Amino acid sequence: MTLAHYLAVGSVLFCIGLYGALVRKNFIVILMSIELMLNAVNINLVAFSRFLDHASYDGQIFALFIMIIAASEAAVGLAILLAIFRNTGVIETDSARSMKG
Amino acid sequence: MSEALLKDILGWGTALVVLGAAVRMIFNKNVMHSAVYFAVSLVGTAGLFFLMYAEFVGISQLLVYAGAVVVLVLLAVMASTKTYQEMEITRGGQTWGAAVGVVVLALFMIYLSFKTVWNSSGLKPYTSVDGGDISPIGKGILIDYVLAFELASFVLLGALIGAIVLTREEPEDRL
Repeated sequence: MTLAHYLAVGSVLFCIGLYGALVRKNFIVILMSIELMLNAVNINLVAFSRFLDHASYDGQIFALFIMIIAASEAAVGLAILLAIFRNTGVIETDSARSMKG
Repeated sequence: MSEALLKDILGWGTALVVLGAAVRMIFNKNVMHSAVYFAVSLVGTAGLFFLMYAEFVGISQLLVYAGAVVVLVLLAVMASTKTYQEMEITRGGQTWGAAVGVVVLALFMIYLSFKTVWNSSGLKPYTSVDGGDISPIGKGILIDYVLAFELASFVLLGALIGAIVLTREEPEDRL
């Protein structure tokens, strides 16, 4: 598999995650789709680092930083989900309409 | 069979697992099933990292994503889903437009990936590195990009404090 194949896999995974984030109503599935998009970017970065840049490991280090940020964002997003669920009782995104409270 | 053919078969198989699990994650009524397919997709991505000889990133993917994020998602699913919710899974009215747009974007990016002339002629062939990749990554994190590393640890601290504050229950006797 050449670089173009790995980039194609990353692109398709990104588009799958984008579709899930746009279309689904369940907040947890939206969060998981965002994590899929970040994963696809990681695949692209590591592929670039491994195929085009043999001297340094910048792509892999960047992928590690993205992993750190994505994990912390998932934690805060799920904390927000639990807070919303405690207040309203449902986890549809369409039901969190009011800015009150 | 030759090593290149074996690597190709493994690569396409892992890519199929990743993409197939991602598609099944999205088109699923049951959130728990979606979480399990999400975990399968993450483990497949770790396999892709190992195939690219990026062992440290692959192990970090398994530890952080397939270990911690999946457990977090399952915790949120079990803490917030009362029954099997038989609701409409999509937001309705926008699914076809989103599908067309996403397919066009995917085809465009695939076309760009295969059409670009990647200038990799002057490099060594694509094999694994002697001694692994942990030492150069460690030097890169702690010498070249140490500011980004420290800022990432601050982001983690902020996320930790934020998650604790958001999920804290107020004591009943505090007015």
